[in-house]
Amino acid sequence: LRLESKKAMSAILVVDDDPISARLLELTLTPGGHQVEVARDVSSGQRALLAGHHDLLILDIFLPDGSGLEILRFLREDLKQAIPVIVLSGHRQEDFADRATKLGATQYVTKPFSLRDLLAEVDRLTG
Amino acid sequence: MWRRFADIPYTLLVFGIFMLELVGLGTLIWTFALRTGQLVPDVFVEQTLIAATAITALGLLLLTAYILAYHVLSVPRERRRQQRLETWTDRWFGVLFSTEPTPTGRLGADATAAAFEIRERLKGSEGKEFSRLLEELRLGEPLLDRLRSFRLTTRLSALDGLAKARLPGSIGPLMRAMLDPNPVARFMAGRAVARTMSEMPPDARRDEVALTFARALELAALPPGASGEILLLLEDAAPVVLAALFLDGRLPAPLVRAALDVVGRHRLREFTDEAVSRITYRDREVRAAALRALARLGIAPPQASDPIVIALNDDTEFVRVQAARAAAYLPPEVAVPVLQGSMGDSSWWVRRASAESLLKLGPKGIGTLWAAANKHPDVFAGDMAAQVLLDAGIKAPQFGSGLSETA
Repeated sequence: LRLESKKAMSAILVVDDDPISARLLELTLTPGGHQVEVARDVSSGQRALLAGHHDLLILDIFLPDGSGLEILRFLREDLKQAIPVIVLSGHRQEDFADRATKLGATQYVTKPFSLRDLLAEVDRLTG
Repeated sequence: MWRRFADIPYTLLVFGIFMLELVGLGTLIWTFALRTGQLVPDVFVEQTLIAATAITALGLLLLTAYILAYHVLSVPRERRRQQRLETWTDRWFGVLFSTEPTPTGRLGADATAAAFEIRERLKGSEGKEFSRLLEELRLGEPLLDRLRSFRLTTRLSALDGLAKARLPGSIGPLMRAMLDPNPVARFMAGRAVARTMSEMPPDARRDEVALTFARALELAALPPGASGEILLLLEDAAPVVLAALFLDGRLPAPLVRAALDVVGRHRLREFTDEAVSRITYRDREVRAAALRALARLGIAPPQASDPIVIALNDDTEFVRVQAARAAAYLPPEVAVPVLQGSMGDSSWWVRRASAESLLKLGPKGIGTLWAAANKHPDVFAGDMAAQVLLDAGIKAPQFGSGLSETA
């Protein structure tokens, strides 16, 4: 298998408390030229958003100190940022996807997912 | 749970302290008994009391020291384990995407754990390729051996690993594990089969496995919630298993209920007729599940009209609630009059569900709610209509003067 990226060079914030998932995302996105920052919970995710500019946010819903959707709300309503957001969740149920979309998620991806498909999506959204 | 390692030393320590306390308290009781009979002097009782207290203090001290030492030692140990897992994650990722050679020789526990964790997170061709690699390296074999262990915890941890690994070759042993005497092991085995099946290609082999799995689920006799979770995990393979389950005319009611719940949750419209045919089922939980499935699907085909109307008068409250919710998808000319009637139901929940369904039915339903809010013969029905309209932010000037935010 091969990972191919368009070398888009974007700053991506990944908020995921699962160390293996976060590491896989990092390993997938970094060789593609993206700069990846990882936060493990809602508060560190919000701090990272306040601290620097990001071109894309990849967000897990279930985090140790709350819901990833709180970060999405913070991004859209408090920071008024329109950057693309990919929401990751283990739930296929449509109500989760609906909630994320209403709050301004660009994409809703259910876990497990294909790393190559995710990389293609990231390239598309940041290209 | 604060411990992840060293179960045996902790068990021995607690057992030792317990024995010390037992001896101390036993001696104390014996000494007091002797004193009551004036057989020993006061000073002897005092000495025994001090010794027993000292034993308790020593026990507490030992336990506290152990817990503190455990944390001091286990935190760096866990950190080192995470680092090893991360190293193996990087390595397996390289192997998957052909930037590193496949490891050879005997692989340790960290390599296996990292491999299964990665497999759990991969989908599609990457997942299948990684499963092929795991089977080639025979990483699943120790887990399959552990399925035969007499220790439940060993079997459960093997089932957990196999659920993550999703190895097609493990389906047979996992199906057999669904007949385990322990219900938790049967549930874990069912989950592992479902997760493995969810990645099988839609071919004749999957259809064959689905038939066996449907039978195994029936024999596993799990509670509906557990069966439902297993069926949900099937994802794209759920329809083929559900079809096999619904084919069985003697399927136990808890499994029918679980299957109907999955029809609704996965929005599997191809099973609408299966749901409709079970609105009049003998088991009330199944009747409710069938109606709930229709409401989740957002469908009430013509043949569902009469059963839904009948279910609105069911003896069981929660069946009437689900019927009121499903009625929202009937044609307005059928739904509005029956929901108007069920607004006067004795149950608050049925009145609420009926009013909410009327709201979903558009202008006709909203008009009925307005009318009910003003002059329904049943005051509770009127109040509910008003409340639902207020909650939805619909204001009508023709509301009665008594209607307020507190209605």
